Amino acid sequence: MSDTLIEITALDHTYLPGTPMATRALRGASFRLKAGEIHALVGPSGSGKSTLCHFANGLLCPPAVGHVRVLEQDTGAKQCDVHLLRREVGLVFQQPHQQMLEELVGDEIAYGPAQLGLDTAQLRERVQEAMAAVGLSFQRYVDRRTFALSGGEMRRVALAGVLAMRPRIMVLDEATTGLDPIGKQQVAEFVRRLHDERGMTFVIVSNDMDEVASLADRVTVLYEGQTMATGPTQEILGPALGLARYGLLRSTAGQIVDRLAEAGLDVDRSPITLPEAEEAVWEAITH
Amino acid sequence: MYDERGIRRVVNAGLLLAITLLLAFTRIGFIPAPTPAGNATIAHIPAIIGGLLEGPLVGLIVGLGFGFASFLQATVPMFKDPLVAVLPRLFIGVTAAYTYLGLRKATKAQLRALLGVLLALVLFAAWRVYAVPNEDGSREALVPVLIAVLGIALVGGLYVWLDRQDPRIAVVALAAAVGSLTNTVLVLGVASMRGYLSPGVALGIGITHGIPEVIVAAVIVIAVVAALRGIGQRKRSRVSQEPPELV
Amino acid sequence: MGSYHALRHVSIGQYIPTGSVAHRLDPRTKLVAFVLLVACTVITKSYVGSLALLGIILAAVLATRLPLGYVLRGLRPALPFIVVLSLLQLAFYNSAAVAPEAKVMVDWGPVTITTASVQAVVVALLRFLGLLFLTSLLTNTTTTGALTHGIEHLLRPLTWLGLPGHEMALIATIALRFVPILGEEGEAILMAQASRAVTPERSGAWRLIDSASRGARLVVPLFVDAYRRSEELVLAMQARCYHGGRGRTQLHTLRLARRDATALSLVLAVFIATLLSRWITVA
Repeated sequence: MSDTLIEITALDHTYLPGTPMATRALRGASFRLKAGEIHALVGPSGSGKSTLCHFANGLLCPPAVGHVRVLEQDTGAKQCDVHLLRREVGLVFQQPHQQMLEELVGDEIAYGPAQLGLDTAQLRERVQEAMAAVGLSFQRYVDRRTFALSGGEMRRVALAGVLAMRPRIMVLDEATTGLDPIGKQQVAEFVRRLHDERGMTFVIVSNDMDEVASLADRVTVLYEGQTMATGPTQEILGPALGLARYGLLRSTAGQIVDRLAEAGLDVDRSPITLPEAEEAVWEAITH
Repeated sequence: MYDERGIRRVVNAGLLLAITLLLAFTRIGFIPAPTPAGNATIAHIPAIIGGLLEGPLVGLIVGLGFGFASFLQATVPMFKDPLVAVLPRLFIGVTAAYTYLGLRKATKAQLRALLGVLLALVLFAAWRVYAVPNEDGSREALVPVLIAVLGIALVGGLYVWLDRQDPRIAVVALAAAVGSLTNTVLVLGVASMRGYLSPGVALGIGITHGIPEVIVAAVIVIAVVAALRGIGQRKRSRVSQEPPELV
Repeated sequence: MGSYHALRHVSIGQYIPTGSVAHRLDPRTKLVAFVLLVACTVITKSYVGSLALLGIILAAVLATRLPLGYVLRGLRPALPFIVVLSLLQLAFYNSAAVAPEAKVMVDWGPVTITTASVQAVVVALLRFLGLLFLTSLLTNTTTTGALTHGIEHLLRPLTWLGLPGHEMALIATIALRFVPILGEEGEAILMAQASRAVTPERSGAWRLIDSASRGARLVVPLFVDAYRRSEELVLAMQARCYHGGRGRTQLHTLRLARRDATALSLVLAVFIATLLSRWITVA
């Protein structure tokens, strides 16, 4: 079985082609996801990140131009099993209140598995497992109304609902955008826990470079529908790439060492996380 | 009109009208159903909800919007007639509003009594159809029996359902049903008066189309009102555990 | 697949710029003309009147250089329905009640066709065509924004009649402004739903139930979202001291031109002629 779970090459996509409102979202984008990695997808708004995710989940298929291979399935082929993709690739959207499909939390999380014909005991097991993973007490939340929850609670329910399908890949499409630092931290913990304990593969769409720096193994940069760069986080967020071209900045740590270096301090500019930066600055000062 | 309630009514009317337009002009406004047209409309539901939650005036305005949208969207002569498309729709929200306002404080016992009255009406209607002979002297037997059986089944089912419900939900359901029926009855009635349909055909469409629409409307309106107002029976999720045995 | 992104682009008719006079008319003129002409089509009951009216409307459409084919294209899927319904109407028209003196042409069991039936059906079809073209005249020559302003301005004077004209204008504005916003919400909800559809659709009777429940699942979050936005909007309006419409100055002003006067007088003439023809023949 191949190590590459998702392989997208030369993908083009235009929304509403042939109408006055046609928008070309992707032009020859590429993306490769390997098993067990946390892969960040970054780029300014409108660069096509969400579109790429939709192809990965089978929401958009077949591709008009280009190749999309997800988990051994070629989405261009007729026998492409879209439903398999939906099961194995869990997609979480930015706004949790758009993802509430049921009135009660328990039913909402069980929505996916319920379609597989599991019996109540099996469903309950999955729901409990999912709720534990997101830190929601089963007893307290299972009968609550989804629309009566707070934003943070709804977000956790949305994550749990996707998790209950036990997907191989989780795609978080801007799932932390607009959250306060504690909220972001909770999601980050969730990602790390699932990655370390279960070997879950993640695709994280984010514009928070600090988050990307601390979580991701690899980063792909999208700009105006094209893949501009892809590589290990250290490299992409490092000093050499010139992210500014794509409307992006380095992580805060990277910016600090950049500024200090420009101001004259002989500091290593490669750090991307705060601990690394602290160490580098300390080293430079005490040299 | 300048206090918060007035502003709220204006804004809600606007938003409900927006949803109506969205439902009327795109495919999401039609739900496949076992009816002659193949679709049950849900674009009248914002008008019902407007009437329920904001009062008859809002219901009227949203209903007007629905009628107008329906008129613009129509591709068959019957619905391109403004008297058929627009006029009846004014009343959808109004009847729903007054039903709700009238029964809002009703207790379960009063609602049960209402069901009893309803059953009596249905049986009376059935008897009337039977009692009036046809032109050639024969008596219609099938239709009254059908009406009676359907009536008893319906009322019986509602009775059982009512028992397990928060009475406020039942009133909401009833208001939704009245609103939806207003739509069906008035539209078909005017169509019939204008000569597009004979009364017999109109009745047929009314039953086969109207009943599924009423059910869909009731289900959706209940879900929306429950989500917005937090009312309704405490439900249990299907994955809830049985409470532990008390020793 | 991938058809979710059309929802926010709901438009009430596609604006087709052809640069004709009609495009340059004030939207208020067009709205008033629309209402008057619709009234005309409803009032007319005779062959001559319907044909004349249809002729006038067609002339107007041709004058705007709108592609006729485009207008009629929407009819194609509905054609069988139109045929069937018209035949049904012909067969079962309650002629006896409406026009008892009409000559009977066919009397065959439950089916009775009189000259009045034929006239009713023909007039209905002519009216239908007329209304189709009228709608096109309005919506294809006026942008949604212009329509909104027109409606707003027209509803304002209703205040003098005791109706809440200003409030109604505001309602119309809010509605038209929020359609694309709620459309985007709807898109997102549909996508979220679809991304969790992990089994193929069930066939047969289940399809209906599934579709119905899917519809309900879409509509409920949409309403909840709309109410959330309405609460924000109410607060915003209160914060800006909204106090009704009296004395408000406007950002956009619409101006009437000579062509508006001409157009309106023409339409008024047609309207009066229609009324007269109806009343005269009755008398």
